[in-house]
Amino acid sequence: MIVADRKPLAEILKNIEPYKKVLILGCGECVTVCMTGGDKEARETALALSIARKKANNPVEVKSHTVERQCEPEYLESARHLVEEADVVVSLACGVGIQNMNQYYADKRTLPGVNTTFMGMPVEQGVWTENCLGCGNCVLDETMGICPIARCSKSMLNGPCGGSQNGKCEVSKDTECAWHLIVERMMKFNKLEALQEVKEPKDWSTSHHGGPRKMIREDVRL
Amino acid sequence: MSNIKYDLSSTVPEYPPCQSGCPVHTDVQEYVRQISVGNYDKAVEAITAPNPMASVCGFICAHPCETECRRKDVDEAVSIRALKRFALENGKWPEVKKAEATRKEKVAVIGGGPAGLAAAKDLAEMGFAVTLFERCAEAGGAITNFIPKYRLPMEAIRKDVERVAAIGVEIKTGVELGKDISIDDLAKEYQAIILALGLPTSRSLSIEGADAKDVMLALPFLSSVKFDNFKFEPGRSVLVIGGGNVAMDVARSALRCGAESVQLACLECRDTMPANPWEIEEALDEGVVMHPGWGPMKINTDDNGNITGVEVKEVLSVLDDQNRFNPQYGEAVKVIPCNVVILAIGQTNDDLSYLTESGIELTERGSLKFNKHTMQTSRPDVFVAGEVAFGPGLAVEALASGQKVAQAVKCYLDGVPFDADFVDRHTTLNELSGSTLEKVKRLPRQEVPLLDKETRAQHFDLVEIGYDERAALCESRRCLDCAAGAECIDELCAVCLTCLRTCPYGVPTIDENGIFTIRNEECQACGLCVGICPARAIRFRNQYAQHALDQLEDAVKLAKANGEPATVVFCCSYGAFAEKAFLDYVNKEKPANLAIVRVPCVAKVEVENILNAFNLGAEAVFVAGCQEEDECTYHDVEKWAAKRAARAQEILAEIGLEKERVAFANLAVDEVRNFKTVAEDYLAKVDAVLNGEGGEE
Amino acid sequence: MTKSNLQKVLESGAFAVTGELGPPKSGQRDVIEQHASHLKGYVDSVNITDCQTAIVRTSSIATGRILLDMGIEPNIQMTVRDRNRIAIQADVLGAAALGIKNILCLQGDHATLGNEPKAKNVNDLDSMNLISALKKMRDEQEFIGGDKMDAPIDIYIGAVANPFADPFEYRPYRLAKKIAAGADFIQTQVIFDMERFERYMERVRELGLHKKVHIIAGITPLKSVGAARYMQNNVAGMLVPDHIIDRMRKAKDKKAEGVNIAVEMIEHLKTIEGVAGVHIMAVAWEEIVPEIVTRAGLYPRPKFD
Repeated sequence: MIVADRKPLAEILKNIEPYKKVLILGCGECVTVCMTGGDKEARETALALSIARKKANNPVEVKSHTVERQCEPEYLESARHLVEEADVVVSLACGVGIQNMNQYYADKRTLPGVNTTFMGMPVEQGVWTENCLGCGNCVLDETMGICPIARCSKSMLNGPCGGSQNGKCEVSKDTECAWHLIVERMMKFNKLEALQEVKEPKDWSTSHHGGPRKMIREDVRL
Repeated sequence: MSNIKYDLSSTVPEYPPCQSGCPVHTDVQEYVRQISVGNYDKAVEAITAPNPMASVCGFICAHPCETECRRKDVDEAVSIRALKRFALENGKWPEVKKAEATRKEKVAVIGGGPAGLAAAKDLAEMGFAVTLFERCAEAGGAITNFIPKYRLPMEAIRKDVERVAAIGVEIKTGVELGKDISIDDLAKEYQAIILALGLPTSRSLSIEGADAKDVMLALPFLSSVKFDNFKFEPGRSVLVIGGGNVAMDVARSALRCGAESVQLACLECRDTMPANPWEIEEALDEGVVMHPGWGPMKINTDDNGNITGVEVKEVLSVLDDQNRFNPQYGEAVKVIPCNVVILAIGQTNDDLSYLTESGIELTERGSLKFNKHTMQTSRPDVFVAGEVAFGPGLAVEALASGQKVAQAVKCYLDGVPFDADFVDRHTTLNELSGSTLEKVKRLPRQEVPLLDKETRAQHFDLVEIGYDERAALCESRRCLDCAAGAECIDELCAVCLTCLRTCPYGVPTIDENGIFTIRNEECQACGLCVGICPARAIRFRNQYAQHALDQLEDAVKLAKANGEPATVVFCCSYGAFAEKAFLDYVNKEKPANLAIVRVPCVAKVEVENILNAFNLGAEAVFVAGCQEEDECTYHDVEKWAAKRAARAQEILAEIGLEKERVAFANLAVDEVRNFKTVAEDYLAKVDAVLNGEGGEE
Repeated sequence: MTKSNLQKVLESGAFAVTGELGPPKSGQRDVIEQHASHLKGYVDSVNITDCQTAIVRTSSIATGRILLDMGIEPNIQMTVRDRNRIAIQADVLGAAALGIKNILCLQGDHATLGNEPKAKNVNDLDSMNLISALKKMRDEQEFIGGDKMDAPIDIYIGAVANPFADPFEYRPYRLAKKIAAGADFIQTQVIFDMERFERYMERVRELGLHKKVHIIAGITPLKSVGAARYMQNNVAGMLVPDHIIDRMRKAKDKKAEGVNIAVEMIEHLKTIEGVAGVHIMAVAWEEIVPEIVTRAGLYPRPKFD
């Protein structure tokens, strides 16, 4: 799922300073699951902003609401009344939702309340790690299900590099060396010699490096 | 209004076992939990709504709710009946609302016992004009006439009866059917008549010597004890024949009437004696000597007709394999010496032959013939309720019967068909699963204090002292909140599994088909999932927790109006409020700018509640829980409550509020008792921070 | 096809010696010349680092040309961290045009470790791809994408091996892979843990890899205890055993002891079958190299036409 991190409240406060009526809009999907922008966080964020503005003698009327998914236009309709009466909307959805809000409610500014970070999963409750970069050319069959593009700091296809120590990446002791994991898993399945094949340079044109991407399914188009 | 409804729809309510076991379906959970958060008034509302003899039941109900209570599979059932009494004695009773007469029909109820009173009340609330005829000087039936004062004070009965009268039921005492009035007379004025005549006649025994002069029958004896100040002459040794509750009442009353010794013999062996186990215990404690498993064969008398003893024979079995009364005897015999015999071997209806003149048929054995679907006798306008029709039972069962017949009468007067099978349909929960049972913390049941057994049989004072506030609180928190805890709001749920990972009891699960559910029927209502769910997709079915948190707004207002800094303390109802010293501090000593919000476990305090306190104007919040090991009812509360406080601190730090503004601590018992010091320390810290004098970095 | 000096030395079977130079954080040609001058004549070629540890320094190609102007043969290091394949191949063409022949292929330390932690890590290719690309440009006269070059280039392809990185068992196989990709010579990461290096070489010999590629073992002279500790704790992929740190601690003249250790290690390396030379990394202490090379019995250096 998409993981995002709430922007520091100081930054949000700076962005909403000129406004008197603010709507905090949460999203019921990914950001709910990663505890950043669900209804609970939306309400907490609204309260925090309200408290801060009271302290600054610049009270703000801040409401919160959550829709099922901010990336689907139909779901945004339920927020119409609240959006229209607010001066500005702060969305806690991922970048996709924020952009959709700006498109759907074109006459209203929707500001980002979060920094969208990565596609990942909870390795344990409360800890999310990056797993997929959306490179558009999945090689997980070749690397025993461990992604070298997203999980190797250097996106090597012929790893590991010389900085791998004790299974950790040179970037941080908290980061696992993906190639160490791949080698171990290959050893487990007795496939280590498959690593001797020199992999060709990656075709990055299927990733964002080829330009913003689009997917079309004619069979379901209206 | 009662919970017994005539309802033909296909969906029926699902009750938790306590509510299901209660014949009038009192919302037991509601009142137990309201007691646990100190809302005694709300508890009284819940108790009195479906039960017209609440006060009486608070003393003597045989609590079928406790028999069904799921807590019994953990350690012991919740002591519901004693809690009920506690609430009724400590909470404010709601005003009785006089019923509006919206119907032109009039209904006569014969018999002022529980069945009659319940029927009368419900019919009055339905808008009918109701007259209740009672032959004794006071209404209450068997409750009034026979239940000894050491178990039930007369004031309790009178309170209940008065409340029924206050609704608008006309109670006419001293009027007896068959003597003063007849069915045909009544039928001229009343469109429906209910016979709630009870079983006021003691059965007799046809053995040799049963006609001796010192053989007494149970019911007249009990009545005489209650109203004629009956006393034995010196040197009387009493033998009570019978093993039921009436026999216990007789035996214990006999002690109090000055009998030198009281013994008891019954057919049933100790384990199958029909009396309530606790009544047997209390009787034994008072010194009644029992001979279970012995059947009376002959009452021996001397030449002057004085009883010398009773010959009894060993009983091998009482019921046959078809559950019919068919005692089988062994060889052993003995004689139990005594000079008074009191027969407590069962009750039956009075002679009802006079009813046949009015077209009401009787069975061969002289009991009322009636249609168990329609509750009508052979006369369509005459109905039956309570023990006279359904046999001996509990007072609360008689109440339910009265509520049912009220439904039957209403249908009759409305001209619509009625079937008793469609009254009171409901389902109940299964037993708690083994894996949940294992995880519930064991908490000993609070013993209900009684008067000292050595001395209490010397008088008729109420034996049960009852719970004090602390005991009531400690007992009420043992309630498992069966199916009243968390439920998933599917439309909002993101199926993120946070609750599944957090719940200490394994309540949310993924079944073998991969479907996620929150198994509400297993939930212990600790509240951890509700506070951590990022979609706010979990709610409690019960309301007491929300009511508790709703106090926050008023609490902060009050604190702010009374000085700086307005500080909120979230305190645990179960831990802190059980201590008298704490209560005294809260009620008398605490500074007015300190607002205490009483919550049923700090597991239910969410980050949002803490932030809300600040948004309402509080300057500091202290979350005070109970020490996990010995005090807290639930698991993992300390861990999560600390994290929530830390998260609130984190958010507030981002907007420039010092971390001292939010504190969390799990109070040990001596800290609770000495809460004054704890609170003052915290207030001082907050003061210092607000005045810029330090605080930690 | 003309061979580089290093290639000639290695192919002759003589024990090769290479040095290293880290360019400055400036465009000062004279500083480069000053450091390089100490190495002239004492080494067969000089490695020039490419923004090592992700710290911005003068480009290795430019520095390589400056060394060539001084009569010193460069081994330019090239990372894949900072350039995509277009820039890399263009730089290789540029290096070849400037007369540079030895190119050492590296992945490059992650940008977060250097002085521009906010930079994008390009990593369009990995170091293995770079080795293959150089081989393709030299032997097939083709760019990576298949487009034909106007003329082939003469490149002596180097790669690195780290016997001290994990997974340890896998490292010899990784060496084999680099050989298959096209590596002509290998320089290892700095060796202090000789015992571990010996185990590595044993495995390498078992796989016959020492016969397929020239392995030059890396050493560095320690200047202080702090330097030893720093390397152990902060440099990715380095292992410094306690007994070395101990020796440094106990020595009165730390530098002298560091040089002693270095010389001892070279003497030992000469005896290990499969080790074709030594790579002396005396960065910012180039002036000590002549002493080390001489004391290790490796002076004068062989000369070839």
